[in-house]
Amino acid sequence: MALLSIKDLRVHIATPNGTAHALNGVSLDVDEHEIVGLIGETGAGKSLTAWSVLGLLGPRARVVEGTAEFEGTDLVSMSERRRRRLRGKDVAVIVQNPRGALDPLRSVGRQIAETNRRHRGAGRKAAKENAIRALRDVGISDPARRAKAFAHQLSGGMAQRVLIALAMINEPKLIIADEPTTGLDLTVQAQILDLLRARVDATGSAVLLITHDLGVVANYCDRVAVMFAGRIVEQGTIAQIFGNPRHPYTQALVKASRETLDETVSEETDRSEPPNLVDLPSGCHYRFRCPLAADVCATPVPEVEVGGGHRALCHFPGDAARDPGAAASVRAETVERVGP
Amino acid sequence: MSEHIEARGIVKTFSVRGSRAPVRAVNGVDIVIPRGRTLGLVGESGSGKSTVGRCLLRLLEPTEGTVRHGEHDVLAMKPETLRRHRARAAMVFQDPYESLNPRMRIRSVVEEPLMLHTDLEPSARRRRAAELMRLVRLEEFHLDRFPHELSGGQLQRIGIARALATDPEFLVLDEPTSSLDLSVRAGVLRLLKRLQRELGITFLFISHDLTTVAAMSDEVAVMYLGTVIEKGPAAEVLGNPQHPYSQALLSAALSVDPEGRRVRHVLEGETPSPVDLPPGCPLASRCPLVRNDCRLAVPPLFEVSEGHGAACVRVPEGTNVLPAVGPVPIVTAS
Repeated sequence: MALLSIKDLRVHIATPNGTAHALNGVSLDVDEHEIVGLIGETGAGKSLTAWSVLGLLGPRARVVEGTAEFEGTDLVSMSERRRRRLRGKDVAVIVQNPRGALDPLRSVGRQIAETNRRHRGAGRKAAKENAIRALRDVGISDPARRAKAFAHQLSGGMAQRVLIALAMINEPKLIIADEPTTGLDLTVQAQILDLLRARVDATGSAVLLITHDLGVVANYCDRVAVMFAGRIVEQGTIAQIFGNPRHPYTQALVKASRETLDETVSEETDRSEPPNLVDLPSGCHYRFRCPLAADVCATPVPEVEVGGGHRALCHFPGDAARDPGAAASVRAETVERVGP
Repeated sequence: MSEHIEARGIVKTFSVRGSRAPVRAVNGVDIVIPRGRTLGLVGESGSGKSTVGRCLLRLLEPTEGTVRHGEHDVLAMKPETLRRHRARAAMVFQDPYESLNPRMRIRSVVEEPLMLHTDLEPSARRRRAAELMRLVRLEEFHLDRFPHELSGGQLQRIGIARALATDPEFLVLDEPTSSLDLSVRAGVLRLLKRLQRELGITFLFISHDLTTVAAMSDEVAVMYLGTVIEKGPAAEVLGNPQHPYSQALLSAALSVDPEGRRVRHVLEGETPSPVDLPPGCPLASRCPLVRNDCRLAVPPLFEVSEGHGAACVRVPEGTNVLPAVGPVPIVTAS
């Protein structure tokens, strides 16, 4: 059984223009000992997936369907009281903008110690020692002195490490990390991700890592899920996704990540407008940007298992999809088959 | 070759509330860019690279130094001359979601600089706006949209169109693709390269993304704590980095095709605060190769090869190579 199992999660958000269909059936498993990357463009629903699982949605957003089982218990239908007991203990979160996430009025050591006392019932003295040890574990030198510091006295990288120490203090089974290294220097990013990976390998905990950096995914994750317009359009291992992407959106992403700006490539008109979540197209949400789009793409999209847990949400997930010529013939054939 | 943009000895300090010592954001930087070429300025956030860009455009007033744009002395300009000069040099900002007014239609965004800097009639402005849209590969109907209806890549094309409205000779591109989704990033970079080729514009390209800088730049300068610690031809600096900081930075870049195990140079700790900088090399507190004379004075750029210099006292004797740490285990799909 997976540690975290998200099934058919759907979230609506009330906006002045109508109901935005922000998550449209997200299903994803995270197992022990693994880091699962969640990638996709701005507005695809990466962070929203995390907030839904944590029960931290704002007043305008609502889970309308689906479950997110943590060790077999559904977090979505769970009472806020029980969820609060889980958060910070078995499920921890690391956010972007670490200084904003820390309490400006309490020293970082006190914040970590209080989390430890509240959830694990540690005594005052033991909690303080645990906090200092946690700070040392994330590579902070002179942790006893640093524990007395306040958020505004820390650099971005230091604050991010404090946040990781805070997330780790109660030895959570699952860590949700939302862009944990965005904005940090590369040399510091490497230190932080090495640390996260080492903790996962040593303790058997799991991480859901939200990022837009494919380099981070390729170097630190075991599996990856690609989101577009509130759906996971493809998921698989790093080798499957980077070596043999099947969904045209993933193919575009992977190709872009190896882009060398060959100037012979002709420029085309940029038609990358984000899909309108209030009025989503039928069928595949990617079809207006897809080079392979055909009539059949307006019909419900099948999720196709292409082997070894590698799945793609596409009418043309075969090898043909990587060769436009071959795809055209598949397309013609398909159109004929389902044609009017 | 004629130097188009030439800044010498730029220093910019900011006073900080509650502290007597000012922050030295830029600490004596020279920038020279030939006409129609691109200088890539690399460094982590807080290293002073955006401040340098703003000083070149005099959006910030440098504390010390000189800035020349062709034959013009930018810092000597009186307000009215400076206002007219602004048509010749423009800036493209990092985050197009933040830098465009959400309540303005794209048309107003693009036409605004034309209203400020030209005396074009409304009909001529409309024609110019349509022309600009073709130039950045968008459709004319996009002019009637609001910012939230466009993707990040499209918005950045609008930011570029706006910057190009007055036919500038020099653009400061401050992390123009850093906040963009990967799927649209290459398109925007390709657009910038074509614009430079067709219009002969000089670029200062500021970024912390080494891959992007490599693809865009003729020359590269690496900044650390307000100082240029290495500069030279792009292939030289990025392919054969000599300063310990450049070596560590490049070895921390993550490829999407990790080959087996990665060897890495690790720097301990983090960048110190730019308030009360100690004398000497800015990397001294983190550098594993530090020795006594590093702490005496800021090292000058020592020549490595023609046009390639690194500000490390060990360069002349060739003992500046960081020990490799690793191999660092790479996660492979199981």
